[in-house]
Amino acid sequence: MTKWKKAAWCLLFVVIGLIWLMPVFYLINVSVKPAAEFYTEGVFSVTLHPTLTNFAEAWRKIGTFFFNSVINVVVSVPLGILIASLGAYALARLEVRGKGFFRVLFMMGMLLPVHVTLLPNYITLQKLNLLNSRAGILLLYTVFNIPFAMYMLQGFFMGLSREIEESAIIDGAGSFQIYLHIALPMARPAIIISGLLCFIAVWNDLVFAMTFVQNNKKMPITAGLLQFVGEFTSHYEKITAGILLSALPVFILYLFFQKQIMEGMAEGAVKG
Amino acid sequence: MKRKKGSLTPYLFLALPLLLYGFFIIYPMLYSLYLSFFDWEGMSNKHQFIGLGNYVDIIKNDEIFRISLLNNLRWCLGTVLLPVTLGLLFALALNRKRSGAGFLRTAVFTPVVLSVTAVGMMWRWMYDPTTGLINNALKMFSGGKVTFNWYADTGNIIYYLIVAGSWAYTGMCMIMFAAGIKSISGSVLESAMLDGVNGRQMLFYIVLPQLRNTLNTVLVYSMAQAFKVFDLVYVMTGGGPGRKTNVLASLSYETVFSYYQYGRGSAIAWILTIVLLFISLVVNRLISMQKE
Repeated sequence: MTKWKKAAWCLLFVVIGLIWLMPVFYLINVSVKPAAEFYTEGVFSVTLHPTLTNFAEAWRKIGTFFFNSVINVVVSVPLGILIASLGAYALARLEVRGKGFFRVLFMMGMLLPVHVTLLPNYITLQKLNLLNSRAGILLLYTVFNIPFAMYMLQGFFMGLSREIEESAIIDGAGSFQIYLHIALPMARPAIIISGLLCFIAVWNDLVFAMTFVQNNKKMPITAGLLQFVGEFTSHYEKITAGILLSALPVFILYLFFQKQIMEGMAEGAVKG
Repeated sequence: MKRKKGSLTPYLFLALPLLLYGFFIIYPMLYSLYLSFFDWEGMSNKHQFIGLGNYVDIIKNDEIFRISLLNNLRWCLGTVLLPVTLGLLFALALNRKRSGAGFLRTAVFTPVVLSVTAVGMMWRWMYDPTTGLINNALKMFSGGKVTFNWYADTGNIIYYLIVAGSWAYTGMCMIMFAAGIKSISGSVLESAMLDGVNGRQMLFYIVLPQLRNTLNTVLVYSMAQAFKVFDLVYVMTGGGPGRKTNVLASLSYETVFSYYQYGRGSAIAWILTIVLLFISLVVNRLISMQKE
């Protein structure tokens, strides 16, 4: 009885999971089909001659965009977290007047719609001559990583036991030394979670990408993908390949760090 | 901790994040509020203070604004009906350690990490009348009799978008509920078990009532998300046809960056901000007051 029940649940879960991912499976199925076959045989048939030509062709068009997004992530995520960690440490551990006010102020950044900042930041970047430049978009991604990273790190620092820090103070270490040599290394779990979520946010961002970068050479993957699709209207065998390529880095991250990503997102949502 | 009172060091820590945050998040917000009181066409030199003129005109006369707001409300309702409900069911089913649970959890959460751009394009392909998955399936099962063209079905396009969005958002609700279920203390469950409570009673009299706080959080968060929607609309329809599938965020974007009505677009962005503040402050408070 219980054995059968268990098997039934398991079957149910697997079936629902497969149905849920069905769009993705068919997406893959289409992307490995030779173009000619796609138009004669349609979506459902499984090809006997799987090919990577669609991927090669998509890559030729979006490779640069992909590379741009890699740079965006590699620069803005560590930088944003580092800057946030300074503020988080001050608000969690040091004597600051108006702590409550600052905490709420930084948390507002997670609640507000980015749309309210777009036009003013567009004007600012224009004035600084940073529109359509790598520096401009990197700056914005770095700053917009701060609120979430700060929230995560602050929570973590507040939960740390004070004992180690206190003994360091007795040894005559200054605040900055304690932050750098004790607090920051201990915060590794929170840094990893912040890093993962900021990575996903920057990689997946579309609004900043399409607003601040109209230059083809600097365009991130999301905006680039849109352009690529515009070029290949209804050539879905190539579009599907492009979609899959664009999702690959985040998907790999998800496979390895599923637990941390879920944990971080659930925690961020509670205060969002 | 012993430390000199009034020391400057803490403020040095705070300086860089505060400076950047202030310059690229706080200042733009306030500047946008300021701009919303002006009649400013970006392309011309016209730059005239009109007080609340933009807001009055938008709320009184703008048909597209009304449609956009309605679409956001539909999105809220759709989110409660689909992702919140499904997310709760999945979380409850996956709570006990059963084989296959890990696979389902991974599957449902996968779309959450994908970019909305990718999700939107995928669903555009799914709905595509000639090469799309859904239409081909319909044709296959009906022998070519039933087909549908989502983009011609003007009145319902927004619902097709909501379905796509729900697919991508359900996993988020699922993990929020899962975290809530996990936090129900084991001793409550144990003592209930000792009292001989059966599975159904356990669910309705113990687990669900204890999940009330979590449900409130999920509802408030989901409403906020439903008002922030932008990418999916932009990617799938661009607000069209006839601007009828716009939401507040895309309308604000279109007004600023396609029509160059800077003042008016800022006012729409601020209306969206006020709605979000209202949800997070007032709705949150109302729900938690009801509890007592």
